[in-house]
Amino acid sequence: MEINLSDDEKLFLIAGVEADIRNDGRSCQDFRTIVLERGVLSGTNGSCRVQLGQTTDILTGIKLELESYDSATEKEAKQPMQFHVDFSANASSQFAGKGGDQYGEEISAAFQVAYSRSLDIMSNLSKTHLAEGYRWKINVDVSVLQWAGSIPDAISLAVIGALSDLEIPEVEVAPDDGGKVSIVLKRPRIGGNVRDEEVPVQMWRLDVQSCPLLLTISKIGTANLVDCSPEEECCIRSQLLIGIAKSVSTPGNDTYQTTCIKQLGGGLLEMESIENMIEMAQKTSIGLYEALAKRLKAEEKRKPGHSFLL
Amino acid sequence: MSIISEHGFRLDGRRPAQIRNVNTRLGLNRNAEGSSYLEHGNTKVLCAVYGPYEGKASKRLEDRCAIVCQYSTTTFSGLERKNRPRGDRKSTEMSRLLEKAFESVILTESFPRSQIDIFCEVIQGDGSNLAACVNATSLALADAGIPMKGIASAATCGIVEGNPIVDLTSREETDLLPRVTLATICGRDEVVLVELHNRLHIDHLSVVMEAAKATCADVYECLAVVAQQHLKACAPILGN
Amino acid sequence: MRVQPVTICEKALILEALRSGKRFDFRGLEEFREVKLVVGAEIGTAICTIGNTKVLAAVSAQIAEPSSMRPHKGVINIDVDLSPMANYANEHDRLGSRGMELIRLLELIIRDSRCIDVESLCIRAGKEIWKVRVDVRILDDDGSLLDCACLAAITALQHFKRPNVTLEPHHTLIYSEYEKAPVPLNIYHMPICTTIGLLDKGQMVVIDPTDKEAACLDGSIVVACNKRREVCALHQSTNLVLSTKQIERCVKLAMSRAEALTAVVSDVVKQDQRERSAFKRPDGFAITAPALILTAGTVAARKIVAPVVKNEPDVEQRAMYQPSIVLNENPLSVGSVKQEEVDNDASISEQVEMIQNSVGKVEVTETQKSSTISNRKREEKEVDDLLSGLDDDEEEVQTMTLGAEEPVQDVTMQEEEEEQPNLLLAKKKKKK
Repeated sequence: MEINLSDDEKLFLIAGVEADIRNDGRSCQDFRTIVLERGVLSGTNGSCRVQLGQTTDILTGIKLELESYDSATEKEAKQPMQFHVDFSANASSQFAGKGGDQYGEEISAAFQVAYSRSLDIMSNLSKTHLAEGYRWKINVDVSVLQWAGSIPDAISLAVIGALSDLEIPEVEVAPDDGGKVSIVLKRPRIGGNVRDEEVPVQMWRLDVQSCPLLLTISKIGTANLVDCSPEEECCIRSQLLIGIAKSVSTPGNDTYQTTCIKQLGGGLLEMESIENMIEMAQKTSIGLYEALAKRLKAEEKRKPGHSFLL
Repeated sequence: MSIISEHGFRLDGRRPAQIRNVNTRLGLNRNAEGSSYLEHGNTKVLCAVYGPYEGKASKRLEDRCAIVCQYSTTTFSGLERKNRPRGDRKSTEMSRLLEKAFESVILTESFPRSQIDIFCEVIQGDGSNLAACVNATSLALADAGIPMKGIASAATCGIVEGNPIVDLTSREETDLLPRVTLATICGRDEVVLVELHNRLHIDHLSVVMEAAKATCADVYECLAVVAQQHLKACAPILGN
Repeated sequence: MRVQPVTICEKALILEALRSGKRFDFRGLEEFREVKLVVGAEIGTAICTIGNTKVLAAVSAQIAEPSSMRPHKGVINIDVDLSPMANYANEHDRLGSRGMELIRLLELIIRDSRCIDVESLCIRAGKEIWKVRVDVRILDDDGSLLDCACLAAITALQHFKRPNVTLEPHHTLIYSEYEKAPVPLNIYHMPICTTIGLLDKGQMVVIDPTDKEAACLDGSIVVACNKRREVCALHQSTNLVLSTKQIERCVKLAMSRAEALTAVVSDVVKQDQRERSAFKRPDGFAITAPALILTAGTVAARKIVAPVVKNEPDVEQRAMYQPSIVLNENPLSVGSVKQEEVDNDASISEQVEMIQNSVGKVEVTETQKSSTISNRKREEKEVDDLLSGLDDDEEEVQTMTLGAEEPVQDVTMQEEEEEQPNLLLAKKKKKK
């Protein structure tokens, strides 16, 4: 969907943003309403849907894969997450065919960078490493169903939601002949005449407290703002994609680290304004982390067979 | 493992001639002219219709409108993860089948020199994907207000030891089970799409066809109700 | 280049003819075109023609590594080349929507209908399998392309034999055809494809439509069946609305066709096998080419005849222009100039005379021609009788015909004359 704005309309928007009033009544630091629901797809190991301002719609599904790798060539442990962002043609007819591939690759590369140190940041991610040569591979696939600005922000929320929803089976690793290992799913022992296959497998979840958030901070006129609408994106001078990760080393005294900075689109920025933009990203991320943690705690487990979008 | 148990039930507890639950929602995509979301049990399809608009010159037809379909599946839709959401041979084949079916459903002569885009996204695939796409597209076209000969409905049917089973799930869509996907207009005996997978003996053909036709009529009942309800919900906007 | 649409009046004409049950190639509505099927001298090749549609299929096999998903199954690949040679609307190296449909349906019919035993193509599970490749080349396109392509591919697969192999503990031995007899593929059934055109909302059935007819019809339905009365593929090829009864009727039509063609395919392949086992050199595609182009003897004969006609004037010309060459050699000699002029005059008059002569000659041959036609018929009959009586030896026929011919002959006539016996020969070979 292409939006064509006249110069006057743009001037109106820019002047408004500089006075900290946006078209839909938000201030520069406000997000649109965020809807987050987890466990929407039964065919995946973890899934999440995020809606931003009722139009941007992101669906994330995670598929687990038991991956074997050559431990001789891979000295340093690799982070197990693989990101793939696909722009569905449903979102906009400009994404038909290969139209959305380039943008999708750009965003998935940014996520790969932002999560590159996730083994250090996320406390129990190293548990996905099962044994010498075996690990869980976490395929995080994102599908953009509707498009109305701030795609990376919405995706990062959806990814965190899906990761928190992800259930990884517990396994038992036993040494086998020839230096190999055998991996068996762990089931709790229940007495009585219940067959082994009928006992549900024990699962564990990732700790997503300090997963990086990716925020787009845009420069419109002299103001910085978060969560642009499509109209505002037409007036952007320059846009930064900033990854912020919360570290919870000391409780009550959280620090925020920047995990990635990437300029989207063109434009020029002064050093000073980059610092301002990072500062703004950190400030807004505090609120966003809080809201997200609250939501993830409050959301009750969905009943199986629930259908979403209805 | 047998597909129909000795008591006459299928793997998911249905009777052979029973379809799965159909859930729908119309008009949830604000960017598109028409959109729909449709569930057949665990098969979930999202469809958006753009147009009619002045399309690419290379696709333009002088006497009717061109119809462009794109069938894609999310990488997490199936049992195994897929590497590409679209562009593989199966997807292009599905796109072409949809295109052909809807060329005969839509009154294409009403919009010469224009183009209608239909995008189907299978969010979760659990059998009868093509049929679900046809149904979702019909609803999206109805939502977009594009004139059609009628609402097309489709169903996939198979045959086990001479007994037809309808609305197959992915566990039932095995390599050996012959299955027919049939699409009809308004549940009448007007076939717009027929596609056969695996070998089917000619003696079984009429049985499967009859079952598929009846299922199409059943699905049409569901779709018609949804479309009418949606129209009533939109009526305040229309001022009546 | 885009396909030119059929003009409105041509379309109307074709439709009117079809509605009154007539077709431009004198067929009935439910009549198929003649199918010609030839297997090549090379193992695993076949040409199939249906009317003007012509398709070449070639099968080859190589050893490859199987996919991890199917470690003990061979692979069958199908490749279609829809070159501009068949139809100028096709683009080189690009399949387009029509080609995609063709390749997908061929895959559906040949691979997905499981007509070939892929398990037997496994050499070593997970390590080595046979990868069979079917190359389909569309040589000429005049409707029912899929029928023709499918028939050619199936015949080529039936004809194909892969090299024999034996397994050693650490390696695989592949034998040439001289060491160990090659092994044919295990083919369970033969899917035969039929295109059925439909008109007037499927009320009228036009079987095996040509390119032009297909452009005028509402659409067509493609049915693939085998001898065991199984439907292998059902495909609504263009947008049309049908009833299930009509589909069932089309399937029945296709079924009878499939039974007839299955017999043809196995006959052709069996005959070829018989000939090969009798150590007879297979004719291959040679019999599909017109005999005139084929036989070296004809070309030689024509070369002898052609100079005889032109020889005479050639010699005279050389004599006529000789003086001018002399003139160039002695440019300074003055006296000879006048004599040259005289000579020139003489030569011109000579030339005129010659032209007159030759004109007369032509007239003579023209009259001769009409008289020889009746003669020729008689002669042909004689030749026929001789052919049927005697063991047909090509050279004998040549001498016979040449001897019976008049000395003065038109070159074109000669060609026709030569063509006749060779065609007969070809026919006789086919009969054998």
